[in-house]
Amino acid sequence: MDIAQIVGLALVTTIMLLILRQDKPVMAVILSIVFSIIIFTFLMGKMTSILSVMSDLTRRAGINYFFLSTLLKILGVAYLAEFAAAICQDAGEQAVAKKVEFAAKIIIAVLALPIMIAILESLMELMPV
Amino acid sequence: MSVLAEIVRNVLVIIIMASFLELLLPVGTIRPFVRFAIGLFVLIAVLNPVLGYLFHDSNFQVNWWDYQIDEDIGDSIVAEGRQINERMVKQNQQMLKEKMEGQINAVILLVPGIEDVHTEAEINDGNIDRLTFTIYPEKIEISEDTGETNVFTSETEEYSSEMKQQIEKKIINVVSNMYGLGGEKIEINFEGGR
Repeated sequence: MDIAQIVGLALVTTIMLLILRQDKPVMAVILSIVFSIIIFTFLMGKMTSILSVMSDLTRRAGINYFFLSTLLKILGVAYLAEFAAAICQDAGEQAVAKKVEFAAKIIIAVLALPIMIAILESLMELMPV
Repeated sequence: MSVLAEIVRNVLVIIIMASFLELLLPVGTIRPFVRFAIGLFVLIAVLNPVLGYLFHDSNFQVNWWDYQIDEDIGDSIVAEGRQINERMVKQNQQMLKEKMEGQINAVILLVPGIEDVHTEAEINDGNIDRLTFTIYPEKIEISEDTGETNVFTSETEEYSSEMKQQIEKKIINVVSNMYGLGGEKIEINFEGGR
C-alpha cells in the first residue's frame, strides 16, 4: 500500500506547510523540498523496474539503445526542471521558476540538436542545390 | 517488403515507448519540447530504412542515429575478449610465480646449513598468499676422532630439532623482512628430517 503511505505523508506535509507558511515561510520551503526528495527516493525502485523493462524491450526489438537513453535524459531533465520550478513557485519566486524552465528547454534542445542536424544534412544530401 | 516491415516495427516500438514515457511527463511548458524530440526519433525510424533502400551506396548521417549492433556478434566479441584477458592474467601470474620462487630460493640458500630448497608460492592478485619451503639439509660428516664437521662429504646427517628451529626462525625472519609475509603464511618442511 505505497499510495496510502504517500497520501498520508502528503496530508501531514500539507497541514504542516499551512501552519509553517504563516509564521516561518523559509521552513515551509525546506519542508516542501524534503517532501519532494522523500517521494522521489520512495519511487526510485519502481522507476528502475520501469526503465529496465523499457531497455529490455528496446534490446529485443533491435532498436538502437541511443533512442531510449536520449529519451530518458530528456525525461529526467523535464522532471527535474518541473520539480525545481514548482518549488520556486511555491516560494513565490516566479522569476526563478521561469529561468529553470528556460534552462530545461535549452538543455532538451541541445540533446535533440544532433539528431535534427543529422536529418537535415541527409535531406540536403538528397536534394543538392 | 523487408524495408516496410522494418519501418513498421521501429515506428511501432518507438511510438509505444514514447507514449508510455510521455505519460510520466510533468504537465508544463516543457512538454512540447519533449514531444519534438520524440518526433525526431520517429522521423529517423522512418527515414533511415527508406534512405538505405533507395540509396545503397550513400552514407547518410542519419544512419549513425539508427545504428544497431548485432547482439550475437557483440556477445561473442565480449566473450573472446574475456578469454584473452583471462589467458593473459594467467600467464602473467605464472611468470610472476616462477620469478618470485626463484628469487626466494636464492635468498633462502644463503641461510647456513641448507643444501637445497624448493619453494612453492601461492600468488593471488600479485600478492603472495602462502609460501611452502622444502629444505634439503647440507651433507655433513662428523669425524669420529676429532669431532670436526666436514661439509660436502658423502655421509648425510639429519637436522637436530634445535637446528631446525634455528633454520625456521632465520627463514621466517628473512622472508618477512623481504616480502612482509607473516609467519603463519610460511610453511617449512625438512626433507630427511627427524
